[in-house]
Amino acid sequence: MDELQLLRSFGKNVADPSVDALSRGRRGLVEHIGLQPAIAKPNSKKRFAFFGGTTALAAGALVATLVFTDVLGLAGWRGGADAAAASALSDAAAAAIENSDPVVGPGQYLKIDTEAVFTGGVQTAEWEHFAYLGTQDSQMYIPADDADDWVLVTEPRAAIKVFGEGFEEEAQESARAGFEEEQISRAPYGSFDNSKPRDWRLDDLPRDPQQLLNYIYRVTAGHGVSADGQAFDFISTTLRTGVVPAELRAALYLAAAGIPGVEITDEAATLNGRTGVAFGREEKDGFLHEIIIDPETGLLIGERTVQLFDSKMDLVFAGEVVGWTAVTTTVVDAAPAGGSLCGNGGEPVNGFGSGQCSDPNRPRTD
Amino acid sequence: MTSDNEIIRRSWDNPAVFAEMYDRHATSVYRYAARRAGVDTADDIMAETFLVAFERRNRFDSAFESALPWLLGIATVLIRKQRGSEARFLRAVVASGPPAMVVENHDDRLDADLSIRALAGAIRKLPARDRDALLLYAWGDLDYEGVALALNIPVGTVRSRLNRARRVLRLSAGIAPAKEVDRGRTSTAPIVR
Repeated sequence: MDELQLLRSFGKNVADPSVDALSRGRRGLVEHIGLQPAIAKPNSKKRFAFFGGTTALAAGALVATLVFTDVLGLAGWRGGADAAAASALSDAAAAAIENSDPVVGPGQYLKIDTEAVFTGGVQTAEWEHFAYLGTQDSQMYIPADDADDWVLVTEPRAAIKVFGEGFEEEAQESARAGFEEEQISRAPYGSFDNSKPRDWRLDDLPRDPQQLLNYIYRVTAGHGVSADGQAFDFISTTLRTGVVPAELRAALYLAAAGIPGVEITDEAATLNGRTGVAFGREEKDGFLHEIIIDPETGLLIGERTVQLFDSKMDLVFAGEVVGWTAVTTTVVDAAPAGGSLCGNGGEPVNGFGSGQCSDPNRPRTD
Repeated sequence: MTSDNEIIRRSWDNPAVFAEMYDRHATSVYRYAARRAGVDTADDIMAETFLVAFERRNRFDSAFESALPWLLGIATVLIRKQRGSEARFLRAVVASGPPAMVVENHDDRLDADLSIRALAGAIRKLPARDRDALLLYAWGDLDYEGVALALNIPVGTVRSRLNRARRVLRLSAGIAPAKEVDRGRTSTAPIVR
């Protein structure tokens, strides 16, 4: 018996986790996930440490209250976006407010058309790695009344760029697997895939830009690579839902103007045929994250991520756009018919729970 | 079956689907943690690993279909943070032998028992980075590529760390160096479509 076999035999007899521990862990995860649909939940311990310094400067209940209501916070203490970016974001915010949102009348739908490209990767049977850019396009129809069916159309996928010679066929296969055909799902309250009712919790967000940015720093504290990067990511993730009303969009632009490191990274960035100004922030992990805004209308065109280093495992080199999302929001009179309930034939996704999305009385809140 | 990287990608927009990662890999994470830090700590490591993974899901390198190496990498960091429990566990093995062993022959068992105690002592003294590489390989059932991914280091570095750790173990357990044989281990990644 060599040392490895010995070591393995030592580890061999470990039992599986108890059913109790397994379900406890799962419950914890599901609860954790449920607490944060689009918004990261703050880690209470880290948040405490985070604000420990601030409150110590002027201890007292008043300051604590001001922090908690986001009147005071991290925003503005360490500067903000560079001057040109801040000024352009402020113009975009003004444009957003001038161009009011379309109104969804009774029987109509808000249609969110999302064209997304992501980097997928495959390891072949011969241990070779390659990466590809794959599409992930969808349209979501949100009814005027949340209790009516929401409709999600998922387009067939395809690989549009392959990093690595001779892998074109495998890339297409990988991109299409499970998404060969258009799929239509419907679910009241947007509970697709048996998820909880779709709620972006936009009402929780302060409309004052300074308070909004404090709020964002507070709820994202302790997450991500850096506090500023995570705050920018929050803004980008919220915007790309396509459901953000004009006044909140304007506040988010102004909040972005308060984040150090944000600058104009492309004066004429084209995404999906539309051209706008890219505001980006370079993160320590080697990615440039950008939001692209149409300066005329203040509408978000989309977001994209640029890799700034050469990958070790595949042929993705610095400067490559490794993902983007273009979002268009319109009001339409009808949504496609047919499709499966819950996006899953009404069956629970993981074998837990039961057809929740078919229950019209399911509460919206967690 | 939808690959892990696809599910993680989907969870960006629909966080609920991330629970699938738990259903697929919780047991593997538990077993790895139990081997390294004992069953008492393993429950917590298992649960915590997925909370951390969920928070970091947009950092997952989607070029890899299986998320297991990544998850075991997170578990490794969590175990390292609780260094106390791993050290306690190894000390207990050194003192009174392994909690359970699978060896057919009685004489072999006694030999193995003694050797394991020596091994546990040696593992305890390994530099943390060599220990992590060795135990991800032996107890996490990852291949070199998987270990590289879990620890975010090049494959060549994995190879040299494993060689170093195995040499130390051989010496401590009094095992004569075997000829290096490629055991043809298969990938744990459920790839190949």
